[in-house]
Amino acid sequence: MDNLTPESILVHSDDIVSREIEGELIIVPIASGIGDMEDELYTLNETGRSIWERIDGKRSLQNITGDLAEEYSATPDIIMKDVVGLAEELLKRKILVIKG
Amino acid sequence: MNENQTKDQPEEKGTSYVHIGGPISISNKYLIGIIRDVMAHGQMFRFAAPGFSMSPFIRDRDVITLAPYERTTCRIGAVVAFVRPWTGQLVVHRVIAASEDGWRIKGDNNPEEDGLIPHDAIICQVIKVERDGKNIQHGLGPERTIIALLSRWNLLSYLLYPIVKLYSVIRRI
Repeated sequence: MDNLTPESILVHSDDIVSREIEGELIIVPIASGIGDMEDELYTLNETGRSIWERIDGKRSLQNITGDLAEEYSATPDIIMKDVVGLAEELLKRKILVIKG
Repeated sequence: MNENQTKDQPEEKGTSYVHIGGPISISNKYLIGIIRDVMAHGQMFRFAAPGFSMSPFIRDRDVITLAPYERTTCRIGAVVAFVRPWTGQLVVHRVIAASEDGWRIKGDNNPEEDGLIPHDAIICQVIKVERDGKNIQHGLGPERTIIALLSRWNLLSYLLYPIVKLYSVIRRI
């Protein structure tokens, strides 16, 4: 996405409901006026969850990448790819928004 | 509809991070939490309801849409979702009688009532039923009061079900 950079700070949208259920994160968008478990339900895998939990409106994508790289002893470039990939996916679906 | 749901794998769509939609079943207690969260936002909630206790008007896996519960506009015949006070289970059944302290509620296909359910145990109200992608009109319209009264007097199985069965036979001819 054109306006997403490593310095971007994201927040969870107000138009979702999310719950951790049996180790999985379930996200139900409600922007349409209906929380639709049949057609519009999202679950994040383990990688997605690790990133999601760090998106707090304070940390930039760069900060999140550094944090994860340290925790998983992984190369920041590879982590950044995952972080940006998830961010783009969830921004597209209006589950995340760019702060400011 | 009052059976516990078990967790299934969601349909594999989306990306390597996000699985999207498709029926996912979660246990009753978690479903209650999600529904409460959605209702707290003043929004509706849609999901496939398991169980046979509201048959034939709501059948197993019919998709129901729930709207926030309004005590002042709820009437006899309304189908509501409530948390059974003594088990914590989510149940979707019909209001059959009113009292000051709550509603008497019963599943259309159940021989016994759920009893007197206090108003604060009721989370939301069914406003739409879908089956095989089509809206089902029966059971939520003006006829709901008659259904509630027949259910209260345990006459549904004697009067209505033979008619429903005959109707489905005629339709097949």
